[in-house]
Amino acid sequence: MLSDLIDRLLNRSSPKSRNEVKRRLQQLLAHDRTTLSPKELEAIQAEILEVVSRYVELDQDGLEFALASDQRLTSLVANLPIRRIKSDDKDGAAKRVAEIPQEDASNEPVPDNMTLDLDDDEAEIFKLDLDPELGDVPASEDSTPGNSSASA
Amino acid sequence: MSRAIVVTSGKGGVGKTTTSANLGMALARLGHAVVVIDADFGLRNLDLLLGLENRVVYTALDVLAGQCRLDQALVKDKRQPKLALLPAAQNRTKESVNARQMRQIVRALATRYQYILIDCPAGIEMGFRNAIAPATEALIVTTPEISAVRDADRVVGLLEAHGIKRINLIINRIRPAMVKANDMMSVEDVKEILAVPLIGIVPDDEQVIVSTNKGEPLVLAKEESFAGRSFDNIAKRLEGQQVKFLDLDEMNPGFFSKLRQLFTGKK
Ligand SMILES: Nc1ncnc2c1ncn2[C@@H]1O[C@H](COP(=O)(O)OP(=O)(O)O)[C@@H](O)[C@H]1O
Ligand SMILES: [Mg+2]
Repeated sequence: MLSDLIDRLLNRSSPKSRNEVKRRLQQLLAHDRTTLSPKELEAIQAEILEVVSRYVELDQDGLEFALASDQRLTSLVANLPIRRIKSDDKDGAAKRVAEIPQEDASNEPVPDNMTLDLDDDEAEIFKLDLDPELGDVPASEDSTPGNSSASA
Repeated sequence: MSRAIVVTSGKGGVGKTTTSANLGMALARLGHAVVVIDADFGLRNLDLLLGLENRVVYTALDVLAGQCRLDQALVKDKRQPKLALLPAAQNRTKESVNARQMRQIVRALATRYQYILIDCPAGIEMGFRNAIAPATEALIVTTPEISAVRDADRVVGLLEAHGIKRINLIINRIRPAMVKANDMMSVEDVKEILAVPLIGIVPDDEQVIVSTNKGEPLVLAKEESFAGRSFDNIAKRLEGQQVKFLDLDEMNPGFFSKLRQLFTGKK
């Protein structure tokens, strides 16, 4: 239609600002909605990594932790790409590996060159649901909606 | 049964007072006994939007101080006898009332009015907490802008924490042409992000300013406006009627007004 054409001609700003603002908002709200402090989030991440690293070697560069929000439910999504399953040599690790429930056949030595690079969806190992309502205390006198608390 | 509904947003200037005035009038026109409470103590302007400023004698504070009866403070609208306003004091601060007093007032009004609309001040401090204290329902007003939506989300969280479960969303000042050009979040975008049931879409409409100038709610105007229709529809949906949402495409300014914009640079 002619009016559409004129619309486009008149439209000087970037055509994607709508998508950009959506993306920014979704990220912002995922943080706003959790009452976890950045410190607590960091602690959770460190502990998750510690536990997982006992069993598998993680690809340090590919690690991803993010807060996501959907339908007012916040999830902690961790993407932990596995480089390889740890083999039996190192004492502590070996013992623990033996404790893993069967089916992973950890008795068979894993070839060193084998990498287990799971794709995005499969590598989503931890999905921790946080109740957004928990501990949502009425804000203090001087806080304004603009500078809310939890942002990491 | 009486419904106490707080109109709130977090951010200021997004249309809470405009919504309270128009929705109050629209509900009254549907035959309900309606009272709108100005809970923006210190910055009252609901009386202005309703064109009732010259008839304010007492305020909610005078009632609480025992200086007058509740019915003396209520300003009845002569154009629409089913509508009354409980004004806020202009010369006092938000700290001059507390939540318990707000609940007292609303409990008293509930014996006579079916709808009690509470026009909330901006922010999430004392004034906000006073305004939501007596409410059993909330209307969240937002515009399709990042800061307004973020604040709306914060307020939804606070309302839920406060035990208010019936929360509905009004998206105000939508500009269909901008949405079409992908330069404004759409109704669906905002709805999806906030995950709160939608009860109304109000377009950005010059008639809102005209109506404010006159102190005459849009829903009373002889000439129908898109914004006025939107508020009428919200009132019906609040009643429980199924009303289709307005088609935003129809609200785009026509081709000729665009050409005029192009040549004159005027909107
Ligand atoms: N749909 C609309 N179209 C055009 N202007 C609007 C609309 N809604 C609100 N406004 C204008 O925005 C300003 C703020 O509105 P107001 O209702 O006072 O907001 P709040 O009570 O949330 O602070 C007013 O000048 C009002 O006329
Ligand atoms: Mg206001």
